[in-house]
Parts: sequence; C-alpha cells; structure tokens
Amino acid sequence: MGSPLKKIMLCSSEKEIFSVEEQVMVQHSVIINNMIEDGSYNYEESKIPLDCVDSKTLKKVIDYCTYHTHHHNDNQEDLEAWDAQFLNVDSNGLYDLLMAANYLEIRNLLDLIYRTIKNMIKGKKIDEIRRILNIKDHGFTPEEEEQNRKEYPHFY
Amino acid sequence: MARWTIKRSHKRKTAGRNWLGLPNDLTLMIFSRLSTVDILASIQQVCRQWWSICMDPLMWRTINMCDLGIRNSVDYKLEKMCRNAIDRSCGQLEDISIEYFGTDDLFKYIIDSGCHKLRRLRLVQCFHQMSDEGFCEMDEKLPLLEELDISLCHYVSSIALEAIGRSCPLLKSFKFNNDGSKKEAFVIVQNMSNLRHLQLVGNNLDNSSLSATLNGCPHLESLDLRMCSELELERILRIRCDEQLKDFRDSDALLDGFQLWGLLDGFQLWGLSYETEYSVAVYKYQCEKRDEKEKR
Repeated sequence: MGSPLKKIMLCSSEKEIFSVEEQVMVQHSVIINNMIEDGSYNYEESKIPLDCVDSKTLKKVIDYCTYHTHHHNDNQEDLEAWDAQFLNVDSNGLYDLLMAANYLEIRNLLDLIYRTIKNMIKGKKIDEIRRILNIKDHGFTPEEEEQNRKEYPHFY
Repeated sequence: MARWTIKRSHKRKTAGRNWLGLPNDLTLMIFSRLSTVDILASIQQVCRQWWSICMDPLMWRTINMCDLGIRNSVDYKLEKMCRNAIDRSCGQLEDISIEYFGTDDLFKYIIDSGCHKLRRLRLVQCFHQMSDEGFCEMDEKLPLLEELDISLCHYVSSIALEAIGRSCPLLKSFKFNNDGSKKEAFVIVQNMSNLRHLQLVGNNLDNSSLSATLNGCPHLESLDLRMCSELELERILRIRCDEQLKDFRDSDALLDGFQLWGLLDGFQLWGLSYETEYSVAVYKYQCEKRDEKEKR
C-alpha cells in the first residue's frame, strides 16, 4: 500500500502530466502497483509514460480510481449509480476507456466496461450492433451475407 | 505546434474506433457475458472476425438456455440452436442449462456428444417431454457430473434416479423439484450417498424417508424440503436435522429466494399447472403475433 500523501506522475499520449495520489493508482492498477513495489518508480524524477492513453481518457480513469478509493464504503446502489453516470459516454469513449483499463490492468473498471458493452449489444439485431459499434466492413462475401439474411431474416 | 495538436486531436475525435481491432481476449470477455441465444442469433453474424471467435470450442464450455422468456421460446428454434452449440463445444462442455425445450432426444444428443467434462446439468420445466428413457442410456458418459437439476419434468421417475446414481459417482448437488413420491426420496438416498446438497421442494416424503435421507447421505450439508406437506417434524427429528445439516429448510419455510420460474406466489400452481400457465402464455403470444400480422 502506498502512503496517502505521496503523489505519482502519469504522462498521457499528449505529454500532459497528471499528478495523482499514489494509493489511488496502487489500489486499482496492477501495473502501477507492480512498478511501485519493485522500486522502479523514482518519486523525484519519474513520470509514468502512458503513450496509448490520451489526456481525456486518462483524466476519466483517474476520476474512476479516485472516486472508488474514497467511496468504497458507500452503499452498492450509490456506487452503481455513479458508475452508470461515469460510463455515460459514446462508443468511442468506451473503447478508449476499455483499452486504457486493459493497459493499466484496472480489473473492476474492466468488468464494469465489459458489462456495459454487453448491455449495449444484448438482444439487438445484427444491423443495429454494426451501427452501434460502427462496423462498416463485416468481411462476409455478398453471397454469405445474403444467405445469412435469407436464413435468419428476423435477426437483421 | 499547438495548432497541430488541436488539429490532430480533432481528427481523432471524429474517426470511429475500430472495434474489430480489439484484442481477441477482450472480445471474448464481452462475449462470455452474453447468452447462448444472443451469440447464435446475432453476435456471430455481425462480422467474419466475430464468427471465427464464436467457432472456438472454448467459447462453448457453458451453454445457458434458461430464463429466455416465453417470446424467445416461441420465436427461436431453441432445440436446433442448442444442438448447434453442443456441436461447437467439441467435447469441452462443462455446464449446460435447458428450460422448456428439453426432450429425450436432445438429452441423448448431449450425452453422445462426448462431453466427458460436463460438471453441471440443468433440465428445468421440460414438463412431459423428458422421461426415464434418456437417463437410462447415460452409462458412464457423464463421469464428472457434480450438479444436477431436474425440476418440473414430470415423467422422470425413480428408474431414472437409479440410473443417475449409477452413472454419476461424483454427484454432489441434486435438485429434484417434481412433486414426486416418497419412493423417489428412498431411491435418491440409496443411489446418491455422496450428496452434499439436496433440494426436494414439493415432494411427498414423510418422516421415515427424511430419517433414511439423514442416514443414507452422511455428507449432506443442505436440505431443502419446502412445500413437502406430508412432513410433520417431531422434536427429535428436528434436532437431528439442525445438528447434522448446516442449512435445513422444512416444509413451512418461506419460499423467498426460490427463483423458480418467477412464480413466487405460485405454490398453489405447483405441479401440472405450471405447464398450463406456460401453454396459456405461449398461446397468448401466438395470438398477439397473428393479430399483428393481420393488421399489417
């Protein structure tokens, strides 16, 4: 566990620096926890470069970790309401968050995102899922697509 | 420099993310949260990449076709879908749940699919379509089965129970909620002595069959005998139950949390009337569909 007063620096793909309470990230991110534990982080000089996470996404990830660190004793309902509001983003935003949470190995955030994506596509027709996730090239040959449509017209 | 950054980020914002570029293991984590019907009815046909992910036998270790609702059970060819899913599991199947559409034929299809790894099997509300016949052909085809639920399958009798006991030596949890006779309770005890958990809601067992159960299944931890109206627990028997079992629910215990088929207040509907209830709901939905078609 990191000390509550210590801060660490995270650097987004736009080279913007974010200063965060160490314990917030250590509690949530497996990668950062490992980095702190094995002593490879230098508090005076180090910035953790997150080249594949942009500033907007990194800010959201930090918001998530901070909130869940300070509110972990809240009742389940309030936390779920906060989570739902937190993930009220478009599919691009969700994609960026998923990649960031995967990169930083933030397991509870990953689980939340998986569930949200599941709810977005559950029970939807094929064309609708393609629209929601912006899948333009489905990769089936016209013949295969036609055959599928003929066989299961009500799925499209 | 600043201008360039703004321009670049603007471009990133307008471009849609490529969900197909997601690493396969992340896509699998999402799919694993969807139901078997969702995968077969739509997900796999969304694109070729998802199609190949859905062909992976490891996707099909769990097949859950319960709680689909009346509409889906009418609209989809569930048995055909189920066979398709079983084929894809290529013997990796560990957990399968079937509601409404289980038949002897389908059960034979499952045990002949080479699913030696099956640990959990649920066949619920199959009413009169499942009988002893299927179970008598189990032999040693499901050697690892630990959990079995056969609820509201009215033609499954003590003959099947004997066959199950013989074929599944590792069986630890058994739910048999079938308004069955006390004879069935005796057969369970004689043939499934390794049970840890037993649920016989609505069974007609009496005090002597309860004693036999406690004697015959020494490892039993939980026993659920709600709505077993023949049971009249005298003091000594109750003390014995409380001492031997971690979790004991007698005939009067509340039915709360008993999520069978969402008919919580339906114990007066117990037994055959569940089937009537189901057929009425199916009939209503079919009428609705027909009316809509005629309107169009």
